[in-house]
Amino acid sequence: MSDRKLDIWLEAGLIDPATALRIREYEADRSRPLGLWSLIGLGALAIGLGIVSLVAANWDEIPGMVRLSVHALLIAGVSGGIYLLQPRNGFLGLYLKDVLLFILAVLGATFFGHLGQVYQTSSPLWQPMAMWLLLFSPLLLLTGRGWLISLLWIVALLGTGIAHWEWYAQQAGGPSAIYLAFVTSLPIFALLAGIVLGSRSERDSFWTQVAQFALASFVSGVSLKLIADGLSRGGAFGTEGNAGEIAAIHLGLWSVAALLAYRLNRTATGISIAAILIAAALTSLVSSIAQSTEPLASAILFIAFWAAIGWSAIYSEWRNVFQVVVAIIALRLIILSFELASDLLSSGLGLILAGMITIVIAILAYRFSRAFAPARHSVAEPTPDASDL
Amino acid sequence: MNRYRRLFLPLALLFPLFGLGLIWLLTERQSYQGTEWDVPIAGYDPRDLLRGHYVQFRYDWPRMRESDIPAWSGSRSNLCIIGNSPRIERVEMQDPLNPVPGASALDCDAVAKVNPWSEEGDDGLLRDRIYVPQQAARDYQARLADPLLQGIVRIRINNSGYITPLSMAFQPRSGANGGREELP
Repeated sequence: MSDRKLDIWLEAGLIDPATALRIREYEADRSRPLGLWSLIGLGALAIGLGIVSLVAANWDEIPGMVRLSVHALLIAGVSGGIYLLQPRNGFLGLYLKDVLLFILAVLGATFFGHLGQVYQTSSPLWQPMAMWLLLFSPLLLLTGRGWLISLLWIVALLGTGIAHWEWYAQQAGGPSAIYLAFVTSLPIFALLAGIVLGSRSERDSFWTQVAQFALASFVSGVSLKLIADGLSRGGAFGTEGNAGEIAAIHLGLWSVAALLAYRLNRTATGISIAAILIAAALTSLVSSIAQSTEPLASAILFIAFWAAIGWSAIYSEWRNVFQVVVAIIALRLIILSFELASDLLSSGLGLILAGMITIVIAILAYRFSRAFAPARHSVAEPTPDASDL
Repeated sequence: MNRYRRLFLPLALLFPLFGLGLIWLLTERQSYQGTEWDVPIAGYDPRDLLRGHYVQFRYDWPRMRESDIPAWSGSRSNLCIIGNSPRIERVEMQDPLNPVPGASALDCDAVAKVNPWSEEGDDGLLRDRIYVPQQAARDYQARLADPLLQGIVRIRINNSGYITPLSMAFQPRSGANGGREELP
């Protein structure tokens, strides 16, 4: 909190001197010796780096069993630290515990690689990742509180899915449509888990974050698929044969998920999530069946999907999401104008036209966003309107 | 309910500890099982010889054409190794479901299978990799490029028939007498 700002507000007549005094007193009470803490942190960092470089320099000299034992002891030590921090609330109990959870999870993940190095064994990436997910999910999901843990878990889940997909695609025969439909629906399962468990847990903000990250990765995945469909026949799945089949399974799967999302969360948010899922399934199905590489058709499907997200944002009053939606649709329109004018672009006139369209779309989008964006909430609400989406 | 809730955290903390410990134990036990063999290697590319801490190489199975080696995990064929550990006499194809008519049943001393979990994908019987100390990497590179030296990899075939490379050694090529040279 800077005193300069308070002075400016005082001069502008926004606050009276008594309020300014109370703010100063309040901030003085809350202030922590930041300088001291940062020096302690710097010292700890130097010690840590020194240990790491000592170990790294003598890596080959240290016998494998010793290295693995130290690694295992570190994991046990961090686990003990988390256990000791459990009954505390406040700064230590909430934030430091999340950081320790994150360190523990990373130490656990590197243990698999360390075992492989010491014993000269190898396995495909998805195996240790799946094992890690199995071992650490209960801990992370039962005790995580902040975005660090929710994001780590979603990244690990989707990463495991992608690693398995990559490995499976290399195996003989190739993946079946039903496998592909399920592995690409992983974010949906995480989303449903977030909604179900969020309503039963006291850490509902953690589960809301899980659901938000899941929905965000789902929307990005569907958008990428719609773009890929427009670039080449067969689209994201490459094989022309089963793209329609996969999209049909998606339609069934995602419709059930939409119904569940609404039944579990009978609020505006639940309806918005269901609408996004249905819109994704429908646009993806049309895109896969049409297999069109026409720029206009591809852009219409993309914009239809994002328009549904925009509607959901208005319905649930997610202001930031709505602004992102308008920006993305405007960007897609600008790209479309360049795609359609590709033969004109070689001429000066074409460039002028494309430039004018770009400016007009940008101005229109700005005005549209200002006019129709849901009002800013005066009180912060834990609804999924955070910038995460 | 609240009484059990207090047990959640210790259990959730102990679960990964025990899981990792169990995996360590199993890996440790597995590393002692099976038989060891020496296999000549060939076909390494000096340019991508070392990617970080490992050497990638190609197995040159004695008296075996490369095109005969099963190269995908869906194939039911195995490599039948005949010899006295660690010396391989010869290697033959073995198809347990479709034995060659008229041929006598092979008496294998070890059977190597395509490892479906291999980092080399389906090429586990053709290619492999071995982790080496970083300081010795330059040495390995020089010796692998030396036309007078033959690289030999000591492998272990475990009870499931999967291959683990253990160490790499070099000996003079084409029958020239000389002891094996072990690298650190």
